[in-house]
Amino acid sequence: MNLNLDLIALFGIWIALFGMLWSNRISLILISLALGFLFSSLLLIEFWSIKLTASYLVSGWMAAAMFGVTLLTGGQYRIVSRLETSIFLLIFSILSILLIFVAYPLLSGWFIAASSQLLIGALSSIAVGGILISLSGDLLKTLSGYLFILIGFILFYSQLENSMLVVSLLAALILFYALIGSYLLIVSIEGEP
Amino acid sequence: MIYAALIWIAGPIVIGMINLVFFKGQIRNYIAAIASLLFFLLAVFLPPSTALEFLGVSIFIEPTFTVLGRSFQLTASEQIHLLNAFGIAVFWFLGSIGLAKLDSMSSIGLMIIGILIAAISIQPFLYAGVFIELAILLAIPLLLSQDDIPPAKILPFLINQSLAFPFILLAGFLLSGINTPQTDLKIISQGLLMLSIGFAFLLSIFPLYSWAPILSTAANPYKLGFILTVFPFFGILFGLDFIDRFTFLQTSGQALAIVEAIGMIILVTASIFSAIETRLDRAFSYGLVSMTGSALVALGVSELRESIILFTVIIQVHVITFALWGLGLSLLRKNNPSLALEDQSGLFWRSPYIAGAILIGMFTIAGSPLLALFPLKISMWNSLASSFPNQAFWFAVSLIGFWISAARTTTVFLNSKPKITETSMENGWNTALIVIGILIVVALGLFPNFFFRIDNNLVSKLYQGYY
Repeated sequence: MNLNLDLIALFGIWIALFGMLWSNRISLILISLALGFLFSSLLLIEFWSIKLTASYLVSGWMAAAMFGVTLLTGGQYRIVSRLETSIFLLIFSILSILLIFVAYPLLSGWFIAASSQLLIGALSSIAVGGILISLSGDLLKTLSGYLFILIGFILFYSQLENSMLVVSLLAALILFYALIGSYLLIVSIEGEP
Repeated sequence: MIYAALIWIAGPIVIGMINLVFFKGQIRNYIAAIASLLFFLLAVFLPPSTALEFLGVSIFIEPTFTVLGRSFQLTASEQIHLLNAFGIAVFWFLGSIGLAKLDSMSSIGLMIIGILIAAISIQPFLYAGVFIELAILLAIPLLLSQDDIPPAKILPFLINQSLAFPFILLAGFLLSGINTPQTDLKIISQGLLMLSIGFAFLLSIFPLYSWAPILSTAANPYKLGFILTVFPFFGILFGLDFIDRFTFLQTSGQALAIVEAIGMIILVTASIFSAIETRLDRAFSYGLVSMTGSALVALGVSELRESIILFTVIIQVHVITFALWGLGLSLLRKNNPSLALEDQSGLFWRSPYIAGAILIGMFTIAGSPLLALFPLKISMWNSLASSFPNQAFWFAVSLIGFWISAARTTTVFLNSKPKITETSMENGWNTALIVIGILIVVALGLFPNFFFRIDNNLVSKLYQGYY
């Protein structure tokens, strides 16, 4: 795997995570989610075949598309954003960066075959996913946060398993999760006054 | 030759789907209850690996079903799990007959049972996480269908339970080669760390059960009862599968002591929260959470084999109790959406059966004498006192918390007759179910030697060759 491509992928993931954390526009959040899947798949090519990576990428994009279609057709959906949340987001983002660089040497000993870009990408996804789940207070961001955690774990997981069955099960799970997430988004929109 | 997986895994999933798509209303509950009873009876009379001749045709229940290089194994030793799973299903689905807005619960619930059986039977077992996650995702439409639950109340459940999946998946891979002599100690510690975090989320270990009281204020208590008995039961079975697989976990006394301590923390905290709770639905959720605590404590109190028998019996009694308690709360909620204790003054005089179901449920969980859990709690207390004296004290604290909650509810329910006359929420079928439930709970408490000896012997026989 070309080192430059790995670096591009890592920066791509960071851009996606930044967009996810700080954007309050639905379109940007969905684009960030799609970018997260795109750039993580560039890192996955190191261990998975093109076929497997493509199926993972398509399932991720379909999940983002499902959320998008639900929000487009469902009616008005407003992203919940509060000032105090933004302050905590900033604090936790800084803490996460520190944590990633503390955890990286330990994990590089555990996952010997993985490149540093893959490990940092995975850790960043899990950290930002965790922040979104615990702090954002917005349904779309919380749902996307779990998908980012999943992306991080799949990056770790890719070097341990590369069978067609596992990847297809993961893809099915991402799609099913998006379906349930869309259902929750519809319920949330219908509940709006 | 018939594959066991097609009967007990594909069967419930397909019947659940057909039931959901083609039928409507109460008929769904009847179909789900009858189907569960059928699967239960099949597990009794035609367990996996059985060969028999019927009308000149020889039938063999093949335990292994292979698909895409992976297999679903339901061997004779899994008979006990099948009996428990479908026994639980029969109980919950029978109770749902006659309750409004619960018909999709039975169909989706049947599918969830099938998927969770797939989770405990798949080989290599590391794929189990995927099936558990599928079941968790299916629980969302189960809870949401025919009920208005704000997403903010259901999301903590979805996220907390879903977070278990990646950790368990990763742990499965890290621990898959652990019994080989060359296994690195570092890999074992990584795997165990991942496993512990995964199970903490899956079994909703303190403080990760905070979603339960949140969800309980919006979800139908009967549905919540089903979810909170089925998922921990299969979660613990899955955990036992890990213990069964790795010899070092079985021989290490520390592993089970830790499990016991975790169970005690859940039990004590749930009991304290229940003691200060002023809403009936939230108190119910703490009761449900305490089941996981009791089951984990039961697993650590004596030798693994005896502990597993105690765990199985404890789960069975809890399911009966929660079905009764959930039924009472569900009927109460139908006419009276507020389940705040202060709004239920004098309930006993308006709806004696509903009040009776709730109170019997609460006192049973508190381990009151003459009720079903009393002999089991006493037995656990004895074992704890001999092996972990400190824990025996905390066990007493856990009982006191639930006692306070039950006693306070009793005084409110027995308050003087209300001046306004309300129509009773009880109907013939529901009353009959409540009476049957109360009779079972009381009979189990009054004649423990008779019932539990039979059950213990049966369970012990079914666990032969296991652990």
